[in-house]
Amino acid sequence: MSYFLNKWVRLRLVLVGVFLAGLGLLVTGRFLHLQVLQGGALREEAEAYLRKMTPVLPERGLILDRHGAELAVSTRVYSAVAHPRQLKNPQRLARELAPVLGLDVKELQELLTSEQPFVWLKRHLTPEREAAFRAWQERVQERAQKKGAAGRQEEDAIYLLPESKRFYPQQTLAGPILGFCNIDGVGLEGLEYQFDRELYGKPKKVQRLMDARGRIVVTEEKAFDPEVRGHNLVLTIDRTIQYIVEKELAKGVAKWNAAGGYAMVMRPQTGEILAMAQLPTMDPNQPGRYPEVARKNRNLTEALEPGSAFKIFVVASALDAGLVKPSDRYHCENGIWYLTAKERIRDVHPYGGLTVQQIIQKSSNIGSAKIANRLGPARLDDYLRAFGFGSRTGIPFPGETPGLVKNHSRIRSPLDRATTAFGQGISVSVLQLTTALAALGNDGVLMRPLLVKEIVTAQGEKVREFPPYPVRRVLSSQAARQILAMMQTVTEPGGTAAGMAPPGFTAAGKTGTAQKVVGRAFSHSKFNSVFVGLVPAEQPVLAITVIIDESKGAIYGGVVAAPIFREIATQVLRVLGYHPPTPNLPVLAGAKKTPEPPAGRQNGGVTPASVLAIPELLPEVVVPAAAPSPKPGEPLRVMPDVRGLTIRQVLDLLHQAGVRCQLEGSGLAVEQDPAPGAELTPGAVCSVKFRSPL
Amino acid sequence: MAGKPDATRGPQDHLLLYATLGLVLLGLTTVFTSSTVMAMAQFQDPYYFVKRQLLYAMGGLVLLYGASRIPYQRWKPLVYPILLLSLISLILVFVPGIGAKVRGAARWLKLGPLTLQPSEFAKLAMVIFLAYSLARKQEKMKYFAIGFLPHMLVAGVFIALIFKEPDFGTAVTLALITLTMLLVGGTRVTYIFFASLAGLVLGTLAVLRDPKKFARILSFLDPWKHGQDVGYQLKQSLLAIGSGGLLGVGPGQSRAKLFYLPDAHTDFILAIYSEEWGLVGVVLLLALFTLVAVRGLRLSLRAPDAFGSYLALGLTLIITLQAAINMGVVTGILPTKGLSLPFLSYGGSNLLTNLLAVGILLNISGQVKQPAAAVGRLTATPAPVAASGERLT
Repeated sequence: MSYFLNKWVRLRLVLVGVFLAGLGLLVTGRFLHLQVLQGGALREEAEAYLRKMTPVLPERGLILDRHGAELAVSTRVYSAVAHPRQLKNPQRLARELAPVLGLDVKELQELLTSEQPFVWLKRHLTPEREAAFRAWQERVQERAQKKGAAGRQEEDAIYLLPESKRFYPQQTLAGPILGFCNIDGVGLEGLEYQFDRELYGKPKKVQRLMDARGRIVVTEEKAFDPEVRGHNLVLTIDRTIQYIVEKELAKGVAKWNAAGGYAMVMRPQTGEILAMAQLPTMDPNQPGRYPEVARKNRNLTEALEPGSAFKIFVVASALDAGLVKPSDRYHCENGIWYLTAKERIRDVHPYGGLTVQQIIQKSSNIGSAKIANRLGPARLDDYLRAFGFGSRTGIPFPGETPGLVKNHSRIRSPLDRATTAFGQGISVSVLQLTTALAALGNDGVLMRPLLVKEIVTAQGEKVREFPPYPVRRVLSSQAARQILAMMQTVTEPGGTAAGMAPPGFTAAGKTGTAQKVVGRAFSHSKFNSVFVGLVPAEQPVLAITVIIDESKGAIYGGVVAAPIFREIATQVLRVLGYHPPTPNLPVLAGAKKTPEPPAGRQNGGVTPASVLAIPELLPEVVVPAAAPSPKPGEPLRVMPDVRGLTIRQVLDLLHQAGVRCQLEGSGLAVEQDPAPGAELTPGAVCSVKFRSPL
Repeated sequence: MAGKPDATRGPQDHLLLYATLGLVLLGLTTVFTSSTVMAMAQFQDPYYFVKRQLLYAMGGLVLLYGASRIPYQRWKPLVYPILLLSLISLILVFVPGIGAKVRGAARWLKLGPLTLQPSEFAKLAMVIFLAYSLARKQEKMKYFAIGFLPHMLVAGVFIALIFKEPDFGTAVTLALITLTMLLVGGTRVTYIFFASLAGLVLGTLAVLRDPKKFARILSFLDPWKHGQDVGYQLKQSLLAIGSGGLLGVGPGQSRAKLFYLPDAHTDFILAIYSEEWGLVGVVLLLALFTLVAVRGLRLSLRAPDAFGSYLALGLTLIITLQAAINMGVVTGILPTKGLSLPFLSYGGSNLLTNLLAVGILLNISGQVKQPAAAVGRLTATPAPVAASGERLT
């Protein structure tokens, strides 16, 4: 009790207390109201500010070769974007940013002052530009700090958006097969177009925690988000074989100073295309730099006249129909056969009587025309269609041509009817030709050609499989064997492609020299030099077509195309682990049993030992000791140091190590995660950043 | 007895001390959790603000201890020097070179590495002056020329200077403290009423002249309508508080501090606090401030002399009235204006002033006449008697 304060003062002091208590109650009530009664609604609204749905751009799936080598990958790049309506000083910003982004000031000004809510300033920045932009952002932030301005800056409305960019590490390799994408990652050509939906992935929106400046606060962004990744496409193409075929084709085209060329390698037993090459070809990394003709996969889209190579199908049909036997003789009219007064068929070399086998071996037009006549137009039609000519093979690829087969029953002219026998007046795609060829080598069964082996998810689960599919039996086993034996003579002395079998192996082949159709007439100076072949002749494991377009100097298929076939066959056989049987030992020519496909990556379809040599007697042959292709080897236990390597080298290295790789940027590797020497678990994912060297 | 403080010295009010220490700890924690993101962005050091606040708190506790040891009567002869010093510092704020202007407001003095906010100390000076003057005039307070006019003139100059900075919030707080003290001191209610009316008219005129302030008033009335511009801060504050709910989102989990809420670690720190700790935390905070108010007003009733009574009242108001206004602002009951929350908001001058105020309060509490006090208290309180002043160490 203080005695010096009168009671009024004391009362007023108490009143102050009451007043403060009132304020306290008011505030408490307000908090109760805000936090408990309205809490849920306010929280929801706050969340709406914070958690913005931000799109996660899909990442396009990979395209892999049959062994998993990356043919098309996606790398992370950044694009500069802006929200023009949020800018207050677009002019100043345009002046500042133009040199940073390497754009014209006026152009940038137009973009920044546009009425659009969102504009792209520059897509897919190079690493240097990206660094320059980030440096600019830092300068802006420093400036804002100096001014003492807090909160949202107008510069925040210009930022980098991560995008995924398609990269083809093998460059031109298989370029026209892969096709290419536009800048938004939508497939425009080739497999990229055909399987766009599967590859594109599923764009999704995720809630991201954003600060008031629109930046993602907690980076929940995973380096590898399987949910948005498109499926991977596994091709039947073997990168090594594709490389060999492309290389040899290019050599041949250069040697003959030709306009272009085609080559295809197929497994007869499965219809799998191991390689498909063409010239001119293209680099899908820069599709704009190549003409239409290079961008199209002409092995499928172009219909050509096959020339004499087509005789094998006519003869095989006649054999199957039982109308001729290999030893039957036909008179070949000494080079000129007058069908009517005006119409005649000529042979390059005049022949008298030739057996059916010789007709193939020497490639007599007159002989095969007579065999075709023996077959009759209706049956010829049936056989050709059974071989798949005149209709699409159904390979999943855009723009496949059905080719052209005339209706022979309706053709009046005996000449027009007869030319089909030696591949004139009929057009086929290289794919059709090779597929039909493969049927001869597959005991007469036509397989559906396969380019895509399977579609798998990013995690490796199978989505869709394309198993070998027999379309129909075209020939009897016997007819198939007979035609192979005849074709083998082509590469033997006296044949049109003598000595063109790969060393140590036999080959069943057929040459062709087709006059190109220029305008509406056959050209006398432009030819397609054709060679089709199956190796080894007794039990083919490869069906190979080589066509050289407009070779200069020599035109004959046996001279121009056959050597290329020989080179390709030799190398591909070696890559696949087939070794020539020792001549002294018996070759299992008659081995009918198709062996089960082994799991080893070296042997795509047929175990070489069981076909070509007796394993017990020839252990040293069986072991592919010096296989030239890179062996997958043991998966690496630790992370290699990849810094300083190119994207391609990194991919090769990591692929061999069994490591899936996430790439960012371009140029040389500068950063990697995990660090070199870190332990790797199988199926691990690593990320590598690239910068182009300055 | 007034002249011999030591003779009647009892134990100082440890409840008040604990409440204060609790508030300081909560303040440090919240400054830390609310400022890291901002500090990282501005200074590349997440601990930038909390390190400084820790230093201020340590300095403030030293001040508190010192003030609790100095008999409060010693402030009496220093009243006019303090008042003059405070006045000079308030003027110096406008002198370029010494005064530091931040975001258009000249509120700070730069003394080497130190930045002081004279308006904070001005509150203290004004309270000491008023306590001294009211205690001296006592019965004459009801006269206009003695009890009202001189105080209003002195306070008016201070308020006008602070208003000019501009620091609207502190000016209003100071005016409210002055009026409350005068009212308790015995000035006629009519004077206070007319003074308030005059202040209101002046304030309204100032508000209407300045479109920015007018807009602020508007935003307070409907923060959602103005949520994109002038009401942005209040809207974000309400969203943050609402997000807290009953139990809060957890310490350090505040989302509003991610640049959404401006001044998250200073004037609007309560929003972050209530977001992180929820209603439970808010109740705890209110309890601590209530404790300070109760103990301070109780002290005012029991102080050994009139100076002590008025001083205790003024010092209590500095802390609690400002806290109440800040809470009103943050929750949208009162118009938005720059005003810190005692002990919690980041800021050295504020913390030092408030801790100094508590120190003086503690000293007054130590001089409360024991026998009389013991009657009012619980009977079983012998324990604190022994400790006396050393309790603080």
